[in-house]
Amino acid sequence: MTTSITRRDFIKISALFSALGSAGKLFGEASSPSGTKVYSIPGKKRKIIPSSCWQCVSRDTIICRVEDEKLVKIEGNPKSIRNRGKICAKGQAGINQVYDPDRILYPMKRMGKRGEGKWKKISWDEALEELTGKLKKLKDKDSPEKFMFHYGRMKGSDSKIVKNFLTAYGTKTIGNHTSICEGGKWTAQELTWGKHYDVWDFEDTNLIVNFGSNFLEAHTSHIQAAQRATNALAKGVKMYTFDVRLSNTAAKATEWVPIKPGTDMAVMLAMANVIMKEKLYDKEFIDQWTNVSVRELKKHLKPFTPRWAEKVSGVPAKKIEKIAIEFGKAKPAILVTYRGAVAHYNGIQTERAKFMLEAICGYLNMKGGTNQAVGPKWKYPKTKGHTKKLKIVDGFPGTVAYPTHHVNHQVLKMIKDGSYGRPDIYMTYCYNPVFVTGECAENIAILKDESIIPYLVAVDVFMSETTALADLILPDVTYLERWTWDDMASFAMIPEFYLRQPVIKSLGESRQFQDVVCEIANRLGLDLGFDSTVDFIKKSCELSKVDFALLKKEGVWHDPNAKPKYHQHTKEIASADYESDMILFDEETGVYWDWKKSKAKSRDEAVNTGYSNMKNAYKGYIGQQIDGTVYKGFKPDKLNKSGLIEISSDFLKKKNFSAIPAWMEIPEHRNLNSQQLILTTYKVNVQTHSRTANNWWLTELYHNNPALLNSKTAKKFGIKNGDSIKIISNVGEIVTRTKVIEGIHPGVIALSFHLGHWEYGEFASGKKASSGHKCVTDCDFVWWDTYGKNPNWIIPNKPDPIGGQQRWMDTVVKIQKV
Amino acid sequence: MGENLSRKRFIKTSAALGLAAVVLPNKILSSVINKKNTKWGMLIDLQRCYGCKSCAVACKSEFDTRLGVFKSNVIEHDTGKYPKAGRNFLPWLCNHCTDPPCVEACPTDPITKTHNGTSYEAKATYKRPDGPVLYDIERCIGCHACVEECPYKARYIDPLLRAGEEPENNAIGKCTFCMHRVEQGIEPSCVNTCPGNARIFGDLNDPDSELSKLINKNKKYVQTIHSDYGTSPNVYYLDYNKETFDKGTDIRNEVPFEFGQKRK
Repeated sequence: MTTSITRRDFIKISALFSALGSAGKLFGEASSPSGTKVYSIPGKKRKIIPSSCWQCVSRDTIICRVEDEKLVKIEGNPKSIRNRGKICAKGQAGINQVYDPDRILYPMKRMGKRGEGKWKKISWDEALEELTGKLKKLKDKDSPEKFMFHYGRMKGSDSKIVKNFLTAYGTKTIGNHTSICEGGKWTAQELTWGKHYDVWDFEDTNLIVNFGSNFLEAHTSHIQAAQRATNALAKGVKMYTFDVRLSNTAAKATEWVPIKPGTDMAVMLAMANVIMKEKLYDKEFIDQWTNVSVRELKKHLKPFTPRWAEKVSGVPAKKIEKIAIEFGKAKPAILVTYRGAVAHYNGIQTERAKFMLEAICGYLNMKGGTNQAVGPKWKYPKTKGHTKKLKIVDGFPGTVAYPTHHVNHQVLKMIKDGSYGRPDIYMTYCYNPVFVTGECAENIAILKDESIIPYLVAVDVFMSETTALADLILPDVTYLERWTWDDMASFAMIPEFYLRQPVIKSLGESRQFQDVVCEIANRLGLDLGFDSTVDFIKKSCELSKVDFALLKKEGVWHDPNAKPKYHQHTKEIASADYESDMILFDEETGVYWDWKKSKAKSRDEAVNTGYSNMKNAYKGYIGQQIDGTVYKGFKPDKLNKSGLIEISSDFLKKKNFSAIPAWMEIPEHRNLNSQQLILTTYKVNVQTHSRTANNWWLTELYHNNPALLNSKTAKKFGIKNGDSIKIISNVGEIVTRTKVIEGIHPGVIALSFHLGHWEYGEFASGKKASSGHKCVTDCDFVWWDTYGKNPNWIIPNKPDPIGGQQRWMDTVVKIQKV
Repeated sequence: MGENLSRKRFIKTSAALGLAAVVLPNKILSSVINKKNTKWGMLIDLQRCYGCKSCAVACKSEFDTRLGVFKSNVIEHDTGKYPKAGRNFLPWLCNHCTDPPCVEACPTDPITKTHNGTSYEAKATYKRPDGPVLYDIERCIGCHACVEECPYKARYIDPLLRAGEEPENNAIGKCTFCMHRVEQGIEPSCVNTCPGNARIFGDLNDPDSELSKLINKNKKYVQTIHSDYGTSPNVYYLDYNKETFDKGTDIRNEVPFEFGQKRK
């Protein structure tokens, strides 16, 4: 390919880029989104189709430039109020997903042993005949719960369609992946201020204090957050970043404050102590909107002095005091957290301490503060049905107090254990448990064992490490060939409705899985109430009063008259909305609630059980009474909390945890000896999770993840930059090279999470997909031969005791020079 | 952030820039195309750059540039000792020099071309009257003298494309300031995608352009890479760290990748 290029070809190619003297003719199409402009290369016809990104969960809006039915360019949609026309490096590389040489384009049936890589290309009809045959058998035996559906990335209408199907079929054995993301953060929020997701209003704040979030490289709203934070920093707003490692977010901060892993809460408690002592708190907010008093807070926080926190965290007391005073005086300031602070044994109380700090300063739900998320409220067709489930998604009984986002990293262990039932059909959807949860070796052993997992179906676009072990592969389309209405939170604080639509025809025989479930339902005789993805989306648009044609043309829509939704909790509820027979007033909490939305069978049962103890009572929450007025308050979700910010939590007290956030030491970190280090993982700016390593434009920029060590630590162990070392934990060992740097805490060893694939394709692992490989031009130009190391081989699958968050950042390891 | 940078200075300059740079993310340059006496240039505000490399990948996809070579990227440079460690980012692309050594080095015979009515002499690589340093691979002989002579390592030997005049040789490649977009009224791809709004592209000859205003307003803090090379670059940096990037190192060694070499 390289050398056979003819002179004629070359002149054609060169003409594209060098014939710049004459301006090309425009070939704009009337339907281009407003604010965008088609440009062309002489002789080529281009058009613009708006859609949305899905390289990560941020799901920013994009415009796609398509030339002769080929996607040639992705840019941000300038009309979007969320990402404001900008996208990141990963979003720019989305083209690589579509034209990935190792993409699975046909249904595949396993021929050899599991994982042997021998496949037979089969027709969709054959594939679905086999699958529906098995599904029908289970349903006929009244065991639909033995069909387990385990998903990684499934949002917006994609999720609603599949869940409608699963409901109609009758299974609620549904696994997600949130516990390996930031599930603990959400459980903490549900225990404290209600419905989860915090949006940071950076552009209007006066100070940013960040604990363990790398939002300038990776975040669930990466571009929205990064763009606004950059504008704040450019105005001169200070940012302190507490992190064990000098991330780019730490590098751009006014100051990087290195901290011992898992001790963020100690610093937050000490900051709260200083703020109370210096009387920088907002008494009015505490009295009205929290369930504690100033006196209680002062008493509780007294022992957590900056000096105490210095001993625990290694952060100098004076620095803590200084930052606390700046935080208290900033009015407003934002306290940012993410997995660096939360993916620990004590992560839930750490996140609750964040909210305590912001609440005592009154910085919640306000301009320039941390706000409850605002997103589009789509209405959509809901399928009814009776479901059953295997109790394998919430962790082993008694290990996790409130698994409100499930404990997905225990699922395979529980299936192996067998005491809680095993699925006959285990289906993964855009999910790679082998690679993305801890203890890879055990995951492989379980999934390879046909006596434990009799039938493994993978719905995937790529040959992931899990998909490689499947019995049947159903090829999905990429996000650029997909229909979805979507609903990510808006940092503009105004909901934005937006659409993902195919920008090219799907390649090969790949089919959007949502259309496939419609067909499966049809084959099983189940009525979903819609017959295709597009039908579902059109019906959703009708129900939500959103113009489908406009969304198709512009990609985005928001109400032009909408104002940013600050102070959501202060909205007063009209008496007509709570003065009714159906509505109960709960004396204990001050909550008005509609008992019919709970699991109560009668009004009497609801009254006698009370709001706090009645199952699903939160679903009927109407408002919080404060001094005779009923407010929207901080609306609960998943737990029956009041409409106040529950700095003191009865839920936690009941399970013998401190009601008000108090220091929780990580048991494994007690008495570390001088030979032990704490392993931390992180993400970088040019890769997403485990799903982009075969994107050659990204992997060219990042294809090696040596273990990062502080120069002092390296010296202590006699290790030099580039040396090979063995990293040993309780569950395994890996060998990798080191990179000796200054920007890392001396007690830490860090390995990024993205690389170390052994499947996925040529660019990711050096191995072509066993299901087929079709070279792209750049296959000839790969210049790297390192594929990195996945840290998950040596990280145990351990949940935190309150919410079930995977404890990514707690692993104690030893290192040896090889 | 490097400790040697003065915070006060930062705030002053960036606040000024902040006002102007935030407003319109996707600027369409319709009003300036085909104007006489244009001189295209760029300003990169280093406080706004957080090293995301969206520019690098946007550029790759804009030109479908082969693996192994880049027209644009970001150089990362770690500084300091723990716990005062820091990291600087330097977006990097062709400087579109006023006195480009690459053009001087090109041994091909010039021909006369015209641009917007102005005629000029052009070798295979040439400086157009409106500023950009461009190249014509049809006329390239693949000698790579221009690649050798660029003091910023901003040119590469294309791993795939062949030189028009000597097809046994590989052609050269470099940043074109996205003239194919600019001429149709759209900003360069790296500018378009930059989430920090760190890149401002425009007409240096127009005193009312956002670019000129920002440069004039921040004259004291605006620099070019290695102004001592005498090349007079047209890519300017706000808050450029001379200590780190000019004095501390040879810029050519900072480019974290090699060019034009197939290394498999």
